Amino acid sequence: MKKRIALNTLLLLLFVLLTSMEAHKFYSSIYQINYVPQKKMIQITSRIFIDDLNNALEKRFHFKYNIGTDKETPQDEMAMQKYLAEKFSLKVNGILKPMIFRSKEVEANVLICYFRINAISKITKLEIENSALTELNSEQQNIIQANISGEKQSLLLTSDNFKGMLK
Amino acid sequence: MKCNFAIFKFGFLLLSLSLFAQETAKPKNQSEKNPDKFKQMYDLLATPNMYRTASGAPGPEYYQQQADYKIDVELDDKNTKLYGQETITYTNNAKESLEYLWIQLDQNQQSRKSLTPLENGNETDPAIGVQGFSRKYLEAHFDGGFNIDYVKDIFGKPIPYTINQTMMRVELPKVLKHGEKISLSIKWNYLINNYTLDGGRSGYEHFDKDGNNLYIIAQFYPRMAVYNDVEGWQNMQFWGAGEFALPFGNFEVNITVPADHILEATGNLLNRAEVFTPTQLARYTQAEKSFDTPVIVVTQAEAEAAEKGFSDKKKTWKFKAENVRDFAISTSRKFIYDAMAVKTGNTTAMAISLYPKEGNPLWEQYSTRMIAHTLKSYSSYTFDYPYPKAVSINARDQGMEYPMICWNFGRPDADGKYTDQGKYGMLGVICHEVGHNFFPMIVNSDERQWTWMDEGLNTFMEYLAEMSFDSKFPSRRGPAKYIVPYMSGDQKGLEPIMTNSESIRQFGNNAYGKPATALNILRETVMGHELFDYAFKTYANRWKYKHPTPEDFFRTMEDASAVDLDWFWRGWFYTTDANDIGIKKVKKYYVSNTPSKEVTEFMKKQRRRDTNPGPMVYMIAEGSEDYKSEMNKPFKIEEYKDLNDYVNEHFTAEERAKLNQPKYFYQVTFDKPGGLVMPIIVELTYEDGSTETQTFPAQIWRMNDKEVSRTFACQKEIAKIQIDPKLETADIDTSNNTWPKEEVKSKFD
Repeated sequence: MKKRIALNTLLLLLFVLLTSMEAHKFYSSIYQINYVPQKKMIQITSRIFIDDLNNALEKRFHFKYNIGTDKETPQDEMAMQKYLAEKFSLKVNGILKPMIFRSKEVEANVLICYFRINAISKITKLEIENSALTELNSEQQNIIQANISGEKQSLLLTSDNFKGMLK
Repeated sequence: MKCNFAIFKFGFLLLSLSLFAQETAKPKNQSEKNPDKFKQMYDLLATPNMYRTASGAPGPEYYQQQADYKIDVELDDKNTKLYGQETITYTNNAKESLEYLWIQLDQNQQSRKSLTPLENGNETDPAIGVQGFSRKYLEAHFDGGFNIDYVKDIFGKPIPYTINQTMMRVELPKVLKHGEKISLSIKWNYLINNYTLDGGRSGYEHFDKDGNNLYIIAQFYPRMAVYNDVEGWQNMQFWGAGEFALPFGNFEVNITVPADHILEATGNLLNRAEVFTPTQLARYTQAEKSFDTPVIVVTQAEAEAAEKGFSDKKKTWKFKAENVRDFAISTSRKFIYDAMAVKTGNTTAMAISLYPKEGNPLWEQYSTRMIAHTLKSYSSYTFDYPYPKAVSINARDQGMEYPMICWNFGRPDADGKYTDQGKYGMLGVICHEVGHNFFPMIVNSDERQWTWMDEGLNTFMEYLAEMSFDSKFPSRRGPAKYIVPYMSGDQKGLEPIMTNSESIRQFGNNAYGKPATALNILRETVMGHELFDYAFKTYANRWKYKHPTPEDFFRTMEDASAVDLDWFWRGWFYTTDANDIGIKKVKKYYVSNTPSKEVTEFMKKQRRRDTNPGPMVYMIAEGSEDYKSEMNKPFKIEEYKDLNDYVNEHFTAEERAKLNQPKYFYQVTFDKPGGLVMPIIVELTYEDGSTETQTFPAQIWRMNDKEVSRTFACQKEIAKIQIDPKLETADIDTSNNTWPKEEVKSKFD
């Protein structure tokens, strides 16, 4: 609950802002969630624009961060993990499962992060909440692309619709 | 001999085809709807006609309407309000008569009556900040939108009109026939939105520190809608995503602002001496001769002094623009102004940047230089930039284009520091928005219907310009591999590129990224630079200052290149299919003098036993029943008597020396889990580490959309086979691209 309060203090007039689709800058991240039954593992790959992510970290922790740049420090990575853990959560079969951060890399102006959740022998229900970056821009789209045992599903999460369920 | 051999081979082919048919023909007697992915696009494209030809060029009856404007506007800076009066002269060039005119009132999208806020669902936030709650549930919506004082004819007689949301229908006193003109004057005003709070492509940004506003003024006057052979009146409302469709015309615009403002707008400034100081005027003259370094026309010191002025006096800036589809203005006391000249082929233009001190040191260093680079790069692929200038305005969070002027984001931190991301972000948006001068300001596609036609083409051109600006430019859109995360998603969550602007879920990926990538793939992989560039240039030149449709683009690209691309447009633009090609299996074959059991059986069954197919050699698969370990050696013609005799009989010693001498034979079976048809790019790596690439055109899939085999006859043993080694086809699953299968190190283990 606490995190949502922080998030919403910055939410502006959503219904007006929805009208201001800009010609070049887009606020969208892609989260790929793959369930690999052989490994009993959920593999999560996030792709987030580096400038937006640093702005979000600064807004959240009141400190200047440089993740994904040559000025990056270990604190930046910790802040990023903390931030994403607050904004992005998965409930597998009704139980909140923490994601384990594995590694990250930079591709053009995007930070790619790899997470996993171990010991998942079956998925009957997958609930996803993701409000990352929506506090910066109400136009932010968090696109969830799931592949659960070969079946593809997707969700388009926004500041107005920030959670969804698969299966 | 030769003939018999061919018959035998054909028989063998029939056998394998019939086997395949038995495997796949499950639902019996089902009618076939021609699933051929190479069939011509008659089912998708509009029928060519006298307006638009089958070649993709404007036809003999092509026409377009003309709208000329004389506008006077005044900015009330204190109350952030704009007052305007205009005379529109509209010429009907259509053969048919018009009973009424439609005028666009795009500002009404900011009105309290706008339907845009009601077109999306929203959930109740479980917790909401007090400011957010107040704005969402307590406060009234911003009171924007046009207040129309009157619509009159040239004699001052009121003309009846009806406003439907963002459109206004004006009743004509009598029908407007072909070739006739009508003039009408409109007076209006509106409250300017603070776009940082209320959103929008125009408005103002307020600077709390010094109390100034930075205005970016657009859609500020009632504008004629497009009437053409495709849509009739373009009467789709402005909901917010689908931008603008506007006819071309000439503009004379007088803009009155506080005397201490610095201003730029579309067109030539007619009274520079009245609005610049003599020093500034001299600097501007110097800038007109400077082709390599920007000249500061209004300095930071001058801008900082002006910031404190808040003059009560007024100044009028007078502009004239020819053959433009729109007009936009930017004005503020805070503006620093620099400029330089740029040569674009046979034309010369001014590259101009305006920015507040908050934009420095970034803007002074890069903006004008990026404008110049963009104009040169785009001109080289299309036509020499025809307008007299291109202006880049620094506006927070904006990226928006108008003829000759655009708004661009990107500012350093308060301490003047910036990251590479910040710098490239700003360079990218300037390149993109300046580039829009070509698409859609000049090559004037219908943005209200098709966002991809200007954004996709422009993003592609932007990619080429960025690559030539700096080969390390972190361009996100263009390279095939970057579209993979989008295209690999659940297809139910995607829509084809050919989707109206208002119904696109992932706007950036669908209308910018995917079409830009598709064009890049056409240029790099399908057509090659020479054929692509010629065709693309043809499209740009055919349709400059005109209104092209998607069909005109598709047709021109084929017409000018002789590359049939119906399969490409169909797959990439009309479906959500993705590319996934894999290696299903690889079989090594050896040449033998004795037939395999399979072949012997087949020959026995041949009805016409008397037909002697002549001497033969036989291909035996490694590991098959008939395979023997002694076969495992490089092929030599001399070891196969019949073949050797044939060769000796038919070729001279000199010719024999030129024959291929393959030693190893491999049959590679490719499968295609993806719905798109794409070329198969095969990289063979031999035992000695050398490589060879063979590309099979997409047409290889035309007879069987699921799998296809190819036999490779090689000099050296193959150690590895890889499909699409340079990731140029947007293959969404590369785990099946390699033989032998490579265990890719997982990022998750």
